[in-house]
Amino acid sequence: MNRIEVEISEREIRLSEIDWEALQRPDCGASDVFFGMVRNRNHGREVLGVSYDAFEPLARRELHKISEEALRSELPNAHGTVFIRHRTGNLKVGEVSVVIAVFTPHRAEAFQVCRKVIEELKKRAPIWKKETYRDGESEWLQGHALCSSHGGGV
Amino acid sequence: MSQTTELHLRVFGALRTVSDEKGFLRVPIDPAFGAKIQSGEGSVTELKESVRAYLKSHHPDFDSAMVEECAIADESTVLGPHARIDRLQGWAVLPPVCGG
Repeated sequence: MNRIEVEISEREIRLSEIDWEALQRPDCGASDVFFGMVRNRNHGREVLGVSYDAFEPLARRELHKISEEALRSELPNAHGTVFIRHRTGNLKVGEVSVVIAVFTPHRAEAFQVCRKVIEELKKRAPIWKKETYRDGESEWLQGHALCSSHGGGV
Repeated sequence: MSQTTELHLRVFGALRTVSDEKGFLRVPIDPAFGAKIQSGEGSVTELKESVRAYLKSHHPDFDSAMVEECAIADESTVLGPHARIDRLQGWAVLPPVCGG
């Protein structure tokens, strides 16, 4: 059975606090972990920090759905685990904004599932970010328009 | 005395700059749209047009055209273009997303 854990929180992500052993499973021999962090430059501007906003109930559902889709497509005859933690609130340069950890039987699927989840997260999860720059300005970043096919719309 | 009918919408991202401190927008709607909502026949297009018109009149410096790119959702679903608006509350206006 696939296992999916999603948390969206203002709480700081400390990698040492994630219980990696609890995420492991005996049928999985591979893991791929992706960290997203706040970068100090974007489009030539010096970034001081990023503020994340999220529609949490829908984002949690969508991230579950994305994870389930990725596991099903890459593991039609096996199972794995996807663990996602995404920050909200104000982050400084270097802070972790998102962690995606994938556990699968073999390495190829772990890489593939992890890649799919982060790419789809950027297009489909109702999460937004505002950058604050050295010159004192701030700006909500442009993104991907949501459509109903992503959210099982009506 | 007639009372103005308003949509009570949650907003996110760039729309936070024009919302109240809890992230809501109160958008007055015209009586015809209000009647359609009451009968369960309001459309997503009408809702978005109401938001756009509100922003244009109350926040003229805000890029109201961005509403065209927004999706309408509740806590579990992004609405498709043919979904029906049947209540004044419980909807969210979602600008294009950029998490990660």
